[in-house]
Amino acid sequence: MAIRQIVVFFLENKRYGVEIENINDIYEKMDAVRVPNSDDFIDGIINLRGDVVTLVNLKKRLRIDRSKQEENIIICEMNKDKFGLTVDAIDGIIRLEKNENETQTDSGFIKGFIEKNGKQIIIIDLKRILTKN
Amino acid sequence: MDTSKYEDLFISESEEYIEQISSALLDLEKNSESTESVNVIFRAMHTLKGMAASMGYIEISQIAHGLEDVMDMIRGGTLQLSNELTDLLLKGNDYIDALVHKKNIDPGVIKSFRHVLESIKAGSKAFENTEQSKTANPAAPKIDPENSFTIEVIFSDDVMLKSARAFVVVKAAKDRGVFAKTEPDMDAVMREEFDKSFLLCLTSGDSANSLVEEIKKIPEIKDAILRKTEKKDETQEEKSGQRKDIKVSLERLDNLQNYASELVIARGRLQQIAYSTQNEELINALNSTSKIITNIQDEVMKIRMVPVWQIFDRYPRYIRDLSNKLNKKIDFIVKGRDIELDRALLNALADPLLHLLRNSIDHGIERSEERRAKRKKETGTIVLEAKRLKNAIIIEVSDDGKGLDTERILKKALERGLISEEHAKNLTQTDIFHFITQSGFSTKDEVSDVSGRGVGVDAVKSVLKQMGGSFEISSEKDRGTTFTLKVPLTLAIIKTLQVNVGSEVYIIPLTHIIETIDIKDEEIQSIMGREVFILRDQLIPIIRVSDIYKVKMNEKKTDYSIVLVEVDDSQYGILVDEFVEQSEVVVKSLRGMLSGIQGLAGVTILNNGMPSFIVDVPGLLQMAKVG
Repeated sequence: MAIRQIVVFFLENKRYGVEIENINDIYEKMDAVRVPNSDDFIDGIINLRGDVVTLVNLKKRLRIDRSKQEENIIICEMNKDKFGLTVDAIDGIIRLEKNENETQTDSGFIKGFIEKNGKQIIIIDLKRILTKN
Repeated sequence: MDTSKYEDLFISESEEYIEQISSALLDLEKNSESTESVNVIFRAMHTLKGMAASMGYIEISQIAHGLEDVMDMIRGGTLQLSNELTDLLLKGNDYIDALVHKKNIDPGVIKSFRHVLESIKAGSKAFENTEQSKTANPAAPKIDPENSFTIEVIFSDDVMLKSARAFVVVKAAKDRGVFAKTEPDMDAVMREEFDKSFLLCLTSGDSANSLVEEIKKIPEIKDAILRKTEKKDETQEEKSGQRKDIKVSLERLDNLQNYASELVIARGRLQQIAYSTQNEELINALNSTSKIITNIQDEVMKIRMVPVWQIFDRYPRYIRDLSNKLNKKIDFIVKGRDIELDRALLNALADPLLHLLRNSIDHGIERSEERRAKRKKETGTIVLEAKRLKNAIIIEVSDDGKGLDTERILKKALERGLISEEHAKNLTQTDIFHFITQSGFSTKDEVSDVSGRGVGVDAVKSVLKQMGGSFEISSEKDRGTTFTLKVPLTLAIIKTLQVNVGSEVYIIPLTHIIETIDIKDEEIQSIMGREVFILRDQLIPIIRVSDIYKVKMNEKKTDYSIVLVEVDDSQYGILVDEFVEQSEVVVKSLRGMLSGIQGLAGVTILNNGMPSFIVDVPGLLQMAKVG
């Protein structure tokens, strides 16, 4: 049976997850350079070992009210471009059997829901999130 | 033989020959007397044939063989080159091209094509007059490409009668029937316009050795050295169509370039540390390293530079076909084909240029009747020209056609709601031309399969924006249209000015900058709600970067700096807080979510490790006008 691994993180006390295949690294938050006239959910750009990485504020992207400061950056790769998702905090990695307990949905940026060890995790659709509207 | 590892080499070399053939054929069509073009084609076909045969590509080899035979007849004067024949030869060249790239072609097509070639051969043989064919073109003796020889004739130091001795040498060659030409040419040799030696080129090596012996016996001649000519000869220097270089894959070159670029960045960082710690020893060591890095960077850059003809030479064929199809008479002139440009840049320009040319043919140049009615020369002219500027290359596509129809563009812009009626009255011609660079904008009522789909001019503009270049249009009714593409010399590293705006840092490419000026707050005036300043009796509009990029500005300052730029023949003052330094930066393009953001041309990483945006100057000005 294939195993899926999900990186779980917090946005305003709720758990969200994204498949590990697309994830390169996780960093503490760092100073970013503002991108003039960009979409509001773009937090800026950073230099990651010579690569210019665009930071996407996940809460702004998902239109979640912000009260907490983002402390981590999840670096992911999509179509050979690197992005950084700014999130409140990292929870950990969970392992799942293929399609275990997953409720599929198709609403915007949300791919589905998973329940594991009594925790509710919202799986986000990275591709949609990182695609310009 | 396992040929797979030679495959890439075969393809890339074949591509070169195929392009040579195609451009020589078009030259030949224009100037049927050009024996040089005939020779180029013949040689290239011959080489292709051999290469293909050794790789086991029988079909390619057979077609090349057939075409070579036809060329041989043209060379011998037994066959006249006609329009139809050029078409046929071009088509053969296309088949070879397709086969080289392993495209599937119906074997029947190839078979019938070869049949046509055979029948040409047969038909021509019937009329062949051997006597005539021998003397048909005495000015252009045949040179067997595989077997051509030169003799370097060296005179002794105290030679008195150089021209007379040279004449004897040439006569000796002529007597043997192997004389082709001399280098320098005969006239120059007779005027003694050479130093101690000249070259005697032979048509064959049959009696070369005995000729050498005879020449050596001529008084005042020190030596005669026989050489087998390498496959390059006089056509090579002029056309540089044949190269004898080693092949390096583009990928490796790109890697090398990337490493060199990163070396430049790393150097910058080191320098900063060295200067901030005031470590003399480190600074000295770094200075010498720095020179080496600069040299490496220059060399890598030079390797990447290629002459524009590598792209330009693709177009004549296309223009010929398209103008025939549209029934328009067009003279296509290419200028500055030896100007060099970064390979990646040139490749990126290939399609945009093609589009502009297509535009000129389809929309620009009128049909003959229309041109006659306008009392214009019946044949339209399209000029593609590359020129070198200090920090940039200018590429112009101009035609003498009907020009852009400003009324029609304006009407379309109004229809599309791009502007309001009242706004339309205040537009300059340049403003109006700018509409056609907007995506989806086309004034052509019906969509043709040539152009008018409304894609293109906007694509051209965005390609140039990415390069940190600019795109300008000028046009006059019934006089023609000129598209001007301003391109930085290299894509990867550009010269820039670094500026501070509030707490942010921006990079302005030198391509657009005329000069920099310091200015006091009170010198800034306001006229009709627009900020201006006076420079040498001229009113220059001021554009505040802080406004357009919405930079948070803390306190009001008394001193500012102005970057004077020129776009579309007008000058503008870009207002910033202060200049930091001039520097060369490595450009990274804006991709993914950053692509398409107005006013930004790219991004780079500064010496301190922070990323910084490169200003798209034309885009910035455009935003200022709208805002």
